[in-house]
Amino acid sequence: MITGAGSEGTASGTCSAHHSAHSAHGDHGKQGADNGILLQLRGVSKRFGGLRAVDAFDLDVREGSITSLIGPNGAGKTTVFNLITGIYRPDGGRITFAGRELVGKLPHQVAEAGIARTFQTLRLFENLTCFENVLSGQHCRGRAGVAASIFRTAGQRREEERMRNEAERCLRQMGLWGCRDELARNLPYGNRRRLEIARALATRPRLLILDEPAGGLNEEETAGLMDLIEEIRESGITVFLIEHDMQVVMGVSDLVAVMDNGQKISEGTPEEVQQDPRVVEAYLGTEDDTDEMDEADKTGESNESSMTETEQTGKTGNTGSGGGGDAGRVRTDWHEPA
Amino acid sequence: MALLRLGPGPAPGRHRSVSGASGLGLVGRYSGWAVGAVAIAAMVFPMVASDYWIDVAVFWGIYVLLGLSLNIIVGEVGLFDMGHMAFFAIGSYTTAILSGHFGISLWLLLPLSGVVAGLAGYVLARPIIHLRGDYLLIVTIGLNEMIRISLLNNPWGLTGGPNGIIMLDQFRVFGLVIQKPMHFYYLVWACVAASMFALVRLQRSRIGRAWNCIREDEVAAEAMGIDVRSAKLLAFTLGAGLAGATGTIFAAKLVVISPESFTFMESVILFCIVVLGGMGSIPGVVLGSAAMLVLPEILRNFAQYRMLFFGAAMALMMIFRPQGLWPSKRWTTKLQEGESE
Amino acid sequence: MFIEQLVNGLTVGAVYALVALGYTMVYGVMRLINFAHGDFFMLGSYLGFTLLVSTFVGSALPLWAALIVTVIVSAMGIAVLGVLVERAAYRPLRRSNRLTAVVSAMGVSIFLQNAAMLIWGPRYRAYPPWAVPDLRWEIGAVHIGFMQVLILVVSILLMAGLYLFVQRTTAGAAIRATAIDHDTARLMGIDVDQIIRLIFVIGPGLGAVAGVLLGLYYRQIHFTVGWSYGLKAFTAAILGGIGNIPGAMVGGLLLGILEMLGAGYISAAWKDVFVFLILILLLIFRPTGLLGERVAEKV
Repeated sequence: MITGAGSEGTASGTCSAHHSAHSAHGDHGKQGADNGILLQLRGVSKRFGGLRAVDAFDLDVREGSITSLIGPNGAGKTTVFNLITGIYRPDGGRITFAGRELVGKLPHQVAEAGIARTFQTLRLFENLTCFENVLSGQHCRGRAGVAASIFRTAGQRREEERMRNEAERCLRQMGLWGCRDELARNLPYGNRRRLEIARALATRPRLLILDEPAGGLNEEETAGLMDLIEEIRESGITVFLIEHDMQVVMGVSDLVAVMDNGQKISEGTPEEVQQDPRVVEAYLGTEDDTDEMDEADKTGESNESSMTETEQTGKTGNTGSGGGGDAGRVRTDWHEPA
Repeated sequence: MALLRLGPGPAPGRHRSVSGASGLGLVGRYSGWAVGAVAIAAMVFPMVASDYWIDVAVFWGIYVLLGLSLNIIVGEVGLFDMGHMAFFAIGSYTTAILSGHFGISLWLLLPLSGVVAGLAGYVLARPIIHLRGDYLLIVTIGLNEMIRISLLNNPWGLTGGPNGIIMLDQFRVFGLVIQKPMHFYYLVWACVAASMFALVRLQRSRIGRAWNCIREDEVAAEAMGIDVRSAKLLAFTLGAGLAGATGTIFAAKLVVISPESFTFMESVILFCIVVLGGMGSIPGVVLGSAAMLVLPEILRNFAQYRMLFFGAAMALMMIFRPQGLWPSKRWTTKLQEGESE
Repeated sequence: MFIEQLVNGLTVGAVYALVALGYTMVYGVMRLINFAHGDFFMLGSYLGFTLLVSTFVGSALPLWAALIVTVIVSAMGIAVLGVLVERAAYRPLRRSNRLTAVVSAMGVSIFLQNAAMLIWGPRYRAYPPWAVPDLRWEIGAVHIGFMQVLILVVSILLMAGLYLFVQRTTAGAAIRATAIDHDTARLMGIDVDQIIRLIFVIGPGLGAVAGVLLGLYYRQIHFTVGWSYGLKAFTAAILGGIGNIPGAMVGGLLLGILEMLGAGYISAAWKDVFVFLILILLLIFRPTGLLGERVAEKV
């Protein structure tokens, strides 16, 4: 189906430096060359001012796999996610998804193409109910316009019905159906994480991108999350995640890519990566959790002492705490009604 | 002085009317009984009230329409539009000019003014829609001022400068000319009811939900596949269009329209209506405009002090009830089951 | 003609800049558009008027002393008012969403305007003619009046003083730190409430000085000038990049010049359209204003 186009696209896009990535797959003995590759990054780069956040980054995510991206804080992992999902535009390189070029697509187009994501610092629609949160994922799968919505045409009603069923399915899958009418901001932290995943699943993605899904979860919740990730993969969705919790990474991943200073330094099965001396070196002494640095690499040039700042960055209550301390954080953005 | 005049209409007077205060169009989820009672009260009101208070209710209705139109932009999507009077002005002047020069029927001009203002909204918003928060706010203020000054400067002799234009035509229904306050009352509140019906349905649709998502978190909305830019433009266009259509009624009611009705201060009042009522809340708009428009009339007994109290009340309200007079309620699944439609 | 318009523009621009500083400082520290700021300016103008015509300042002191006392007392009076307003109407809203604070600010503005109307009456009031020495200079073909020189000198001194204060003193550093992040500033031992109070001393104080200067310049004052000048000054603050102190100065002067050149060369009636058009174009192409810095949004 689309894989044909995929191999074509990558053949023209790759240059000699990237062959190593291909042979890495050969070693796993899985399907040949590009056939099973859903997402492919080739030579992707992004600079923020003088900082090379991502530097000639290559990666293949195979259809039906669980792939993890790990690396010390500030390595550029989240930037990679933001490049894939169209929040940033790469300075160079190609990103193909199911054979189609993603570079230049806007975030909503990427979502429509079949990539859904969660955020490292949760970004729920806090003042909407859980049901509405999940329903939002179905937006891009509907077409009803203004007139159809006002007159509630037969087509619009069918579409609503379908959307609601789909949202219900996702909520039930995440075990959140019971709190469907709760406002998102009133959920306990673990459920907030799950809600974000439910919302992403509601877009009916082919690829689900999770940015530190285990951040802030306790042991039990983490175990549940691992089962969940497996379950999602079983339902036919490819999973690509950033995670610091090595238990999760080593437990669920088929393939692990390691990043440091914007570059891929290692790639392979969890066992292979664990034994790679470069990985050990990159992690040495930086194992502990200091997520602020990861944040800093995204805001890039925002650290000036000017009095200006965008509204979004200005108001999050406790900017200093990392992903772990987020329980109970309530965003106090200005555009919330109250 | 002119800045302090709230309603653009003739200065109304004193006694408080019960049904006037309860003429809220409580549509949608609120029980059928309440809606019915309010509807009957609203129907009866002009038969018992003086012309003076009917006029107050007419201007209240006009501000409800304007508030509803701005609520789409400010309340539903969270875009700071503080120049909304510009679109109202475009609608009013479109009506006055086309009616005066070509004698087009006002019934035709009602949608036409809406389309013209909506188009203007689309064209003007397109380059600025990506601006965030306060930047959008100042740009819309700028647009408001630019349009008002342009009207004042009488380009090509079209707008009549500071004196404005006199409307010669009126709405007609089978030979009946709508010019008595009571007629206008029914016209305006019928429009209010129709707009509310449409807006409530829009609120509960894919489009309304997308707007709310954008208001909550733009980045997340985009990541969920919502075309943020188009959705914002749609809201802006619809809001401008509804304001423009309201302009036709306003022009017919006022007979003389001039730039002083469309000042920045009026835009500020509209903005306050939406926030005071409760962002994104349709009944809130009705209450908010009552607070901004009808309340000062009731306080008229205190003549010169009323605006002083009023300013203080706005600040106090924000401190003690920031969610607004009638905060919007979220749609819930329980509600869905209880819905009778 | 050109030079003369330029001088006129600089004069008005200096007034805009002084008022714009108040907007920009409050915005920088609190992310609040203080819609009442224009009214501080207006009240400063009225307070100055009252002092000048009063017997114990206007007629008791020599002119130069009377002017100095008027400016200083007006500034102090309005600064006190500013602190009171902040305490009553803004502080309770500091943790709530920004729209509520904006509406509260509008309420304050309506309140102050009507208070002014009740105190000084709804009609125009005129500064006494003797308050301004009738001095003019001719440089080449350009006429420059005493008030123009005074406004330029005073405002440049004040702006330079403010700039040095913010950049060089500990209190200034605390202001800058608070502008970046309240919580972090608090962790560094900065009393954020104190800093905000300071902002509400400086901003309204400067606004009041501008109000007195403008009253002396144009003679006539009205309780609605707060809105019209406030809007212009706010535009100036945005033009320079809101939250940025030198930006407000540059924006104010630039706006004054643009306005006067627009009036002189295009048409007086269309000058405001011209000004807003430039503002909108600027924001489309450089959304953070002239001196504002680009800040990437954190995702």
